[in-house]
Amino acid sequence: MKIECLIEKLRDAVSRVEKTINKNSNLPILSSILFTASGKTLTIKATNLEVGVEISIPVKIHSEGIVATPAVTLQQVLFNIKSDKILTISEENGVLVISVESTKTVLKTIPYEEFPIIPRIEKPESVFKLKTKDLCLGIKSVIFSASLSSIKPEQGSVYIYHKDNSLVFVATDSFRLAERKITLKTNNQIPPLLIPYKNCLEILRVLDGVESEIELSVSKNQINITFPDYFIVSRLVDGTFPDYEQIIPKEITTTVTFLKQDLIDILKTLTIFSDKFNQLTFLINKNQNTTTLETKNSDVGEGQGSLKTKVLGESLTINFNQKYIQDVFQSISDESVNFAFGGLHKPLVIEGAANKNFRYLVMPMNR
Amino acid sequence: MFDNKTLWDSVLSEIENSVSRATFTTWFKDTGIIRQEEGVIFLSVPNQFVKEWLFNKYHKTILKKLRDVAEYVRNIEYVVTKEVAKNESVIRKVENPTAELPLANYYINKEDNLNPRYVFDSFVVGSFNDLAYAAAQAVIKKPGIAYNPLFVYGNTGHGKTHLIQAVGNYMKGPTQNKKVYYMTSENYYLGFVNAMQENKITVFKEKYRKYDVFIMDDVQFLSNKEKTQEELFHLFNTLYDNNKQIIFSSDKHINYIPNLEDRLKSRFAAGMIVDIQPPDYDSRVAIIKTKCLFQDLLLPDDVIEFLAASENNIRELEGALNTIAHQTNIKNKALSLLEIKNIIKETSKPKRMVSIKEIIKTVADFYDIPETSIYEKTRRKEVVKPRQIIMYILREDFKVSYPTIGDKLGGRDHTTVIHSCEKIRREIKESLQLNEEIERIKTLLK
Repeated sequence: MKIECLIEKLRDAVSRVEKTINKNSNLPILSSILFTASGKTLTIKATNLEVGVEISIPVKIHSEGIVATPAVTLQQVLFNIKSDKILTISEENGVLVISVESTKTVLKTIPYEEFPIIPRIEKPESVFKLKTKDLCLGIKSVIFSASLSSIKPEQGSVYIYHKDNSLVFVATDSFRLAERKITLKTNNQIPPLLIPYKNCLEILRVLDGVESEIELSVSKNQINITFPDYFIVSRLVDGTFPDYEQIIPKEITTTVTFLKQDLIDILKTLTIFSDKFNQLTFLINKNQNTTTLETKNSDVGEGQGSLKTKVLGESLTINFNQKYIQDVFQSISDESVNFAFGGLHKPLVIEGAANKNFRYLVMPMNR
Repeated sequence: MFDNKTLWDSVLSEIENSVSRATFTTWFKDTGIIRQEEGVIFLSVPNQFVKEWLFNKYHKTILKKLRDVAEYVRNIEYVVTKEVAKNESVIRKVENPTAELPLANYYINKEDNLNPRYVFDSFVVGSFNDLAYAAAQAVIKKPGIAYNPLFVYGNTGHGKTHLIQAVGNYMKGPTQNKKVYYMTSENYYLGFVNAMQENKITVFKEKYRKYDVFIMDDVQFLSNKEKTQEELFHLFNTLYDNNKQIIFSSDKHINYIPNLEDRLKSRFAAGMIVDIQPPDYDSRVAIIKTKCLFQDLLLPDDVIEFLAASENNIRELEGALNTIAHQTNIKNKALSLLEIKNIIKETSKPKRMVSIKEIIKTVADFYDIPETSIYEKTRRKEVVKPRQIIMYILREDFKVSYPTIGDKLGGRDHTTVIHSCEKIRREIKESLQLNEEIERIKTLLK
C-alpha cells in the first residue's frame, strides 16, 4: 500500500476514530487503527466492539492495500508533525513508513486479518434523518443523569423515542431523571432506542463539530449513523425504559421561580460547607416570599443564602442532594428556572421558565 | 441430545486450546447455547460485532467441533441476546440518602404490554394455585398443543395476571423467542370500536394474527358485547387453526359470564379451564416472604404472621408491603408491629359489617326462594340447600357459634347446624358448581 494525503484530513479522521479505541484491550488488534486504501479513498477504521467508526478521506493512491497499526503511536506521530504539506504513507516489509518533507517515522504493523468486521444493518427496522447538532444536543442535555453502573441496563443508557413530532431523549439513574425534546417532523416510524452511556460519549466525540445532516438506521440490536464519508455503528440495549410520565407529580404543593445565575452563585459558596451526603436544605417561606438555602458540615462550618422569590402554594422545608441540583443548570439555557415541588417525599420538577423542551425530576433526601 | 451447557462447554474447551487467550476471551466469552431445534444450534452472543466475527471467521470451526461431540448438529444460528440485569440482592447497593424515583411499577414493555416483574421466578406456588401453575408449565413445554386455549379464572387479586404474563414473558425470552402479545379484553373492545369508527377494521383484524402467543385478560368484560365477541371468535379460529397458543383469564368460570355467545363459550372450554383460589394462610406467608426478598425488605416473623392473617388478597398484601417499605425508607429504621398495625388499619379498605339478616336475604335471593322459608321447618330440597349454605357461611367466615346459628335460623338444634356445615364442607370439595356458587355469594356480601 502506498498513498499520499493531506495531513490535516488524516489527523482529524484519526483523532476521531481513535476515541473509540479501548487502549487496555486484551487483543492488540483492538488497540489498532485499520487503513484500507482503495480507488481514490483511504478508509480509517477503529472499534471497541461496542462502537465502530469508519471515516473516509480522499487520497492519491499509488498502490492499494490494507494495513493495521497501533493507534496510540500513530496518534502521537500525527500530532507532532508541524508541517501542513503532503504526507506519504507506505507499507514496506511489514512496517508502516510515514514521511513528510524531511521527517520519516517507521511504525509497527499488526496482521490486518485479525481486525473485527464492523457490522452494518442489512434490513433496518427504521431509517430517519436528523441534524447532527440535534442528536448531540439531545444526548448532551440528559446524559449526565444516566447511571454509571450497568446493573439495570436501561438506566446505564440514554433512551430515545419519538412522540408527537418530537424526538425525546431521556436518562435516569433512579434518583433523578432528565428529559429533552427536540422537534422532529417525520413520517417514519422510529422505534424506541436505548444507547449505552459510554457509547453515547464516544458518538458525541466522533460527531464533534460535524455540521451535516445524518441518517440513522435502527435494528433490534444496533444503530447505524451515516453521512458523507462517515459511518458509525453502536450496540443498542435490549430493554424496557419505564413509563416515567406516570411519576410526574400531578399535584404541586409549592412553586418557586429563581434567577438561574443567582442560584448558581449561592450554590458555589454553599458547596464549601456540604456534608458527605451533599445535603442541601431548601427553606421556602410563603409569607415572606423568600427561599433560604443551607448546607452544614460539622467539620467545616455552615453556609446559608437567601433569595427573594415569588412563592406559589405552601411553605416547605425539604432536602436535596446538592449535586443533583447543580447538575441541571448545564441543560437549561433560560435565565429563570421554575422549581415545582410535589411535596415531602415526592419528586421535584425543574424546568426553564420559558423553554418547555427540557424537564428534570429529582427526588428529595429522606429526612 | 446433549444439554446446552455440556455441549457448549466441551466445544469451548477445544477452542480454548487452539487460539490465543486474548482471542478466546474477546470472542467467546459470554457465548452460550440457548436452544436446540431440529439439529440447529441457537448460539447467544453478546453483540453484533461478535456475531459477525464468529460467523465469518469461526463458523466452520465451531460447526465441526459441535459435530465432533454431537452428530445431530446440522447448523448454527447466532442470536444477539440482551444482557441479563445482575441480581440486585447480590450487589450491595451504595447507601444513598436520596429516595428513589417511584419507577418500579412502570416498566411495561410497549411492544407486548408485558410487565417484566411478572415472571415464574417471582410466582409463589401453593395448593391454591398449583393446578393453574401446572397447566401453565405444560403450556410452555408444548405451546399450542398441550392446553389450547388455557382459561384461568378466579377472584381478583390472587395472581391470574401474574401467571398468564409469566407464560408470556417466558415464551418471548431467548430460549423460546416467540412473538407474544398481552392485552385486556377491554382494550380489545375499545380497539375494535375505534377501528369500526375509523373504517380500519381490516388493519385491526390483521394486527393480532401474527402472534405465536396471544394472551387476553379479564374476558368477563366482553359480556354483552356481541360484535366484539364475534370478532374475537374469528381471531380465535385463525390463531387456533395455526396452532398458536391462546390464553384467557376471567374473574368467573365461563358458565357464569352472562351473555356470552355459545360458540365463544365452547371455544374457551376447548382446551383447559383452571382456577386460582384465594391463598391459604401458609401460602400467604410464603408470598409475603418472597415479595420481601424481591423488595429487599426485612420483616420479622410476627409482622409476617400478622399480615398473612389480616388479608387474603395478594394485591392488598402487596399494597400493604409497599406502604411498609415506603415508611421504612422514610423513617430509616425498621417499623414495630404496632406501627405496622396502624398502617394496615389506615390503608386497608373498610370491611363492611354484615348482619345475619343481610346474609339470609342475599342467599335467599341468590337461589330465588322467599326469605321466610329459611326460618320455616320445611325440608324441601330447594330450601334445605340454601339454609345449609347460610349456616356454613356464618360459621366459616363469621365464626358465629353453632347454637347462635341454630337460634337465628328458626330455632334449630346446634347439632343440625354442625351436620349442615360438615355436609357443605365435603360437597365443596366434590362439586365445582357448589364451590362457584358460594364464592359468588361471598363476593356479593363484600
